[in-house]
Amino acid sequence: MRNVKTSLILTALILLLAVSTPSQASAAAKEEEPSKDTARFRAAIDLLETNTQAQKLVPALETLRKGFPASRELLVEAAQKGSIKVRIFALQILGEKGDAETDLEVVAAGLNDRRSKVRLAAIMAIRRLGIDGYDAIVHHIPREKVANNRKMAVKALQHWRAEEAVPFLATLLRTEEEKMVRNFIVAALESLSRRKYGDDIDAWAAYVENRLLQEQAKRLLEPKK
Amino acid sequence: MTRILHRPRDVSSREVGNAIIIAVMVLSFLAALSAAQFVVVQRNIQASTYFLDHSDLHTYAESGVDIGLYDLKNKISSNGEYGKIGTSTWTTANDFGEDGASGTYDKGEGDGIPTLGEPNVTPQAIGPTELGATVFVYVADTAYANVQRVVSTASNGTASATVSTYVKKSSTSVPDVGAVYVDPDVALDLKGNKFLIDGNDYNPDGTPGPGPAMPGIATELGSPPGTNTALLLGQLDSNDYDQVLGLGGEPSLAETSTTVDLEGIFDSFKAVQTTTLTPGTYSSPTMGTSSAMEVTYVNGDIHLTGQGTGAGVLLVDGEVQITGQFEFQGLVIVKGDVKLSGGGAGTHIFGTLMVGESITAIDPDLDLTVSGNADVFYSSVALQNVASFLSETYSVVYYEDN
Repeated sequence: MRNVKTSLILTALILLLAVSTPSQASAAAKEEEPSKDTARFRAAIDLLETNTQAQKLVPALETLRKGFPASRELLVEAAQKGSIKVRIFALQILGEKGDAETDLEVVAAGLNDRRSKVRLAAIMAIRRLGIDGYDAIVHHIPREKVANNRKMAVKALQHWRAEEAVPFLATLLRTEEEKMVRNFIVAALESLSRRKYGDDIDAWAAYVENRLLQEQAKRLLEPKK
Repeated sequence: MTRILHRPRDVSSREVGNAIIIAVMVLSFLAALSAAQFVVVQRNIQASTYFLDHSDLHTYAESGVDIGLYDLKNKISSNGEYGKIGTSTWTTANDFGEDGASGTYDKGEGDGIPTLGEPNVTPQAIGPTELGATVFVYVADTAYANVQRVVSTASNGTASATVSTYVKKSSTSVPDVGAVYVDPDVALDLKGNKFLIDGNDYNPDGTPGPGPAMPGIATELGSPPGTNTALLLGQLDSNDYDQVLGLGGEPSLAETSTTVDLEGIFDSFKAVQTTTLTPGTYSSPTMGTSSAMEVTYVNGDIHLTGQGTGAGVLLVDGEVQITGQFEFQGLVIVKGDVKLSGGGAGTHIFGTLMVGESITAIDPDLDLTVSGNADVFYSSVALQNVASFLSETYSVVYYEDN
């Protein structure tokens, strides 16, 4: 009987060991995983830094995209401290995969970069993050020196269907000197207002004024709660 | 008194003799004068005829140069001696001068160009029969590359005229770089699934073409190489990689090994424009056909609507916006922005699209109701057709008439 008890205890112990060992192992593996991922992401960023062939860059970008949000921390670091190329790629992925609440601040910081291509990447990334980037874009456009960047920033407002941008765009049309940027402004104004005033600054000014009056009247006429 | 009366009779007899002599002399003088006058008039008539003939012959000699240049450009002569008329077998070994005999050092001997009377010079009739004019044209290479000497001589037995020119050959080569070529500072606004850029070779009818695959989007060689490609990649949405096809995989992006001077190419085609359009909106325009190509130049923004077609070269010194159906075969060069909004059966460019500032494809988020795709297919055949159409141009850089 004692032998039976002993054998039962031993069996139970063996079973316990058998059950507990894999879970402990997986826990250990889980602890290792983040560092393994980090190494993988860092290797991908290094590859972006050193390689220039599109066919080799694409898998590295895919690693970072698929690894998001785990890769976010490294991407943020890359967007702040990387070379021009790495910054552009990091901003691109943060725009594609990130969200405004978490990533807008980092991405919008790219608008202050002295290199125009980084600023363009930041504009495109903000556009992808959504209308929460409205203030950043509207604040940036008058300061942007590169015409192509201004065009894409205006396009972002149009893309968001930001009707509140109409007064801003109408004012911008008055000050913008580049013909082709003006074309983008007109396209955005016409798309957002559903009016066809073309390049007529006064017509847009009148439209904006009328619109503001209507909004004021509407507010006044609305019954107070 | 009697003496006095007789004296005049004696004098009169002598005077009569003198008068006769004088009359003969006067008559002789008048005859000589008439003869001289006749000779002078004849000479004047001859000179006048010569100058009239020379003037006509000079015109025909100039025509000879024009015909020679036409043959040089279009390569019509079946014997391959392009530009030569009546001198295709003449060589400097035949350079004997007018008498056709060696060593006499007569006019035209050893001058390096054919002269009437030399062996293997066969003038060809030109102009009205009554003038009896003939012409021969000779073309020779010079020490300068792409510069040739074209000499044309017209004669009619009375007079001859020679026009000697130096002409410069200019070739407007069609760049063969891929489906789309962009300036490295371009902004790519390619979103959604309504565009396709394909560097694989297609015939203008959409069937597979004979040439090798080229890059979907090509740009200038970066510093260091690959930098510009990487920057383009940074503008492409990962969802759209499979919409930029061609050499090297998806997305197909590459830098050209040779320098592509977008501005220079634009200007060289502008110099041979065949149609000029004023900026504006065009509904269902036709900008050349595959059998009658055009080099269409627009000095400003152009908006194409409806169902447009074209073949050849389209040069836009501004923005091009396509909101309708548009089919084009050949080369499209836009210094500014390209906005492809589709419509109808969409936009299809077979050849190469070169862009200076930005490309915006159909944005499905904005253009909800737009039908069709915006596609750019590389087409070696379409580009070769353009190259054949343009061929070479010759311009006279030096002119001398003798």
